[in-house]
Amino acid sequence: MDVQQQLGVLNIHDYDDITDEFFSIASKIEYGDIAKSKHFKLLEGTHALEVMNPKLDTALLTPEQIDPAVPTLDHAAWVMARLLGCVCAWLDNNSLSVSVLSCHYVEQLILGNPVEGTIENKVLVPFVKAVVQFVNQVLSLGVAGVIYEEEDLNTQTMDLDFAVFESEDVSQTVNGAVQWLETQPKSESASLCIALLSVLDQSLKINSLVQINTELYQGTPKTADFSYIDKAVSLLDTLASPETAKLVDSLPKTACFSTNVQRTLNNRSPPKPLAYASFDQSVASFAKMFVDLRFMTKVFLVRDSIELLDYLNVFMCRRQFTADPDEILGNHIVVRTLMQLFLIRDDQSILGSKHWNISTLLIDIVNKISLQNSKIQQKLSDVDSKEIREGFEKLLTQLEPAFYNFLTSISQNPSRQRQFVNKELIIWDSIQVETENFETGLNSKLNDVFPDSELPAMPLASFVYYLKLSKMADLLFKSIELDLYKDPRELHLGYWQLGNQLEHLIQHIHRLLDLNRLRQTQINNYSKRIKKAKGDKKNKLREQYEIDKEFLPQFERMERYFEFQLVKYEIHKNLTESRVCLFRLLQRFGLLGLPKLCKVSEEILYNLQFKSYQTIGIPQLLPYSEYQHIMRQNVWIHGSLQGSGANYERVLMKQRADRVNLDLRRFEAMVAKLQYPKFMAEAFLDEVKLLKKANIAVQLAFSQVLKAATESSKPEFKVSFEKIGYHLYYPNIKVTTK
Amino acid sequence: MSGIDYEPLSLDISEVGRELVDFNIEQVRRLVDEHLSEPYSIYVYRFFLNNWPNLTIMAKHQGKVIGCIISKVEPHRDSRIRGYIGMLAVDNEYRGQGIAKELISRSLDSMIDNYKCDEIILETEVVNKAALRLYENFGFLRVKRLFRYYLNKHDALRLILPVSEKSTIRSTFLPKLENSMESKY
Repeated sequence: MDVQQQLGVLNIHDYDDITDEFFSIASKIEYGDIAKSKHFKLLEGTHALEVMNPKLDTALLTPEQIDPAVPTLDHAAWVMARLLGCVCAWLDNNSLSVSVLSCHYVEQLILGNPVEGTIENKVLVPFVKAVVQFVNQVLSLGVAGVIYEEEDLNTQTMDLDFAVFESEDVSQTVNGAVQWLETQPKSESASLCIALLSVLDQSLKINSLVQINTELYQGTPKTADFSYIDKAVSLLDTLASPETAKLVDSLPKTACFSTNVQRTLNNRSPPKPLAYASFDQSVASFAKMFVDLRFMTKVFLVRDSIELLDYLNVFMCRRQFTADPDEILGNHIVVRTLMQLFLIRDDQSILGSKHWNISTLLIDIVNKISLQNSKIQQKLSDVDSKEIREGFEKLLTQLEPAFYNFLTSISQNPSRQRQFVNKELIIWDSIQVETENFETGLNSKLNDVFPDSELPAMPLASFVYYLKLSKMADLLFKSIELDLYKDPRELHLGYWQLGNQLEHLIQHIHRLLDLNRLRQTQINNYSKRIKKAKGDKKNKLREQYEIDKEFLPQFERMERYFEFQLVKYEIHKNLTESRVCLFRLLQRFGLLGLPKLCKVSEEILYNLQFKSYQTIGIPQLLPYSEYQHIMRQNVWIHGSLQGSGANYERVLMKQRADRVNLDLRRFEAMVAKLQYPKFMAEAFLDEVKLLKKANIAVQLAFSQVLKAATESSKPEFKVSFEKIGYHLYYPNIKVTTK
Repeated sequence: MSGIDYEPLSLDISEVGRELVDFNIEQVRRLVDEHLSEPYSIYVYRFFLNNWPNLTIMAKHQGKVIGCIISKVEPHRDSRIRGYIGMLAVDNEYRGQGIAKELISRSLDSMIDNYKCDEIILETEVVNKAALRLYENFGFLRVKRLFRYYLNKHDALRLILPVSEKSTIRSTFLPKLENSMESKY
């Protein structure tokens, strides 16, 4: 086809040929010169399109002949199934130009062009309108700034406006289509069309979630109707049958999908083949969206701010396991985007609550963790304590960005989540110094101390340090999850540092427990103090007692919570140390060495691996010299234990495994004791299963290595890591003999 | 493999002649276009080649460019000198002969010795195990995972080879570079 013919196929008649002028101007550029704007940098270059480059010029795509006629319901069902696949491909990070907009009907309806044919108008048009409306809803979520353009979702619309239909009209049109189909002779295709229309109809209800305003911890609002979620899940479950997939495969195709739109509309992407998910992938994708959405709505069931924190952490760590170990996917993109807008509203309220916003939620958490009944807290309502109040408020303004960072991290993809944690770590670290200075300065006046040791209680700094230590451990956990530690040497280092971080965290939770118990003792001691006091002081103490004792149940709840946290982190610490032990055994066989062609020292690699911790003062990163010392000791230990058949290590590993098993049983008991909502308890118990598996796996690997070492004087091992079916933070360390 | 010559690209037409300059650029572009999944515009090539021709190292067999590595060096956040390996490609029939390894080694040496880089970075697809092995063998560490980084939707891993201690400290804690250079094009 020549240019004229191509333009004819694409219905383009109004153009100017500037070829000669272009070459005339270009001929003035000297050989080797680059003519460009100062503002055109490499980044622009990587996004630039290039005329006559087949990889970058969409004009070089061969125009495709289309024949969009849909003569039967069989044809209509095929187009609808394929278009659903296009929507899923778009949600799976493809551009609209290669997915949804590749459909002739989508383009026509957005442009307001008429569509001919009975089945087209009765069935297909309603479905396409629903698709356009759904895309429009997701686009509005996508541009709200929660997720990342291109990385999470491509929101380039080729300058088309998807907001062309009214929601109500679309809903009525879809219902009308279903009613019309029900009047037709029964057929598998008609049923499929009805089911697909219904899936879209339910999907259009998702956005209504952000309209729900409710109070926290009051249960699911009575006005909220989530029955559409269950209906959609059930519908998709039916569509997931092999019979339906077989039916879709057998349907006659219609030539209404093409790459033409990449040539005719404003296109910022390079030419690409069409993208669409298979029918079973599409059904699975929509099913995941609704299942994740159901989990999202469970937020209404949490009962206090601490449970909300737990819930958000569980939400954040939900993963979609696929057969591909290199794919790490979180919640469905639509749900991720929706979650943040649903949780934090424009006015900073939480779930649209009149009482809870980011600040009040943060203060409530700080109170529960460590501030409740502290002397600082008591002074905040004291009119004479302006200085304390102002200092506290100043600190709160610094705490809020860190907390907001956490609240927004939950909606991110797994890779971004780690970056958010990394960023949060710096904020917590800088606040810690300021908080400590603030409290140290106040302590001489307030004298809020542990009675036996005279150690200052430091409730605010204790809160900040708790969050900081949690994030320090989180960063290492997430680095492991994302496969950033590639080999036994790096993974060994990662677990070794993690064990150390967890030890600090455990010690600090003990401190928080002590603080909690101190406050309980202070409440329980009121009766003695009241008895001893006289006159006005007695009355004041009585009044204060009445106020403070109201918080006794909260302290008891938090005491149980801290005990629960202790068990959780003890489990992780022991699992981590078991892995360290296994890797140190492997050191004996030369598996913790540097890569062969390594151009830099191990020390600098060590420092880079833990770069995020380099500038943190407390707790200090374990220095490289300590690592070297331990590894030298390790060589000596192995040397001296060789004769004893490594019984010492075997016993140590066994003891640690027993301890993990015991703690896992305690963990299960505490989940019950804390009376978590069923869905949370289930999430925790699912994790227990994976932690048990991790415990067994590391023991097995250890035994295998020891066995091979006794059977051969110079065994050679190959180490690999398996992720599928294992805990996010404990991939299976598979050790095989070569 | 014997018979493979390694040479940096020269754009000096008075030295090598315009024909050879064009030939080399065309060959380099062919290699990259053929073997890398990401499409690059002419500007991307020219950005690398014209600014740092000596950091485009070619492997030639009987005059034909059968492998190349394309790198650049720029200040990063005005606090450290960062080398970047942008592209590496070797023709299929020459693979498995250590050519990529040699190209990387030469590029690293040049960036470290001539440009005093504090670190050298690159991105590669998480599924490209061969490339990961290759770079990691030189000591590169994975510092970040980039979600859906490539047009083919795969995640990428950012790798860094730390050369000086500056590489191991967050840039906000580093002093500003004194003589910050900028790319010409």
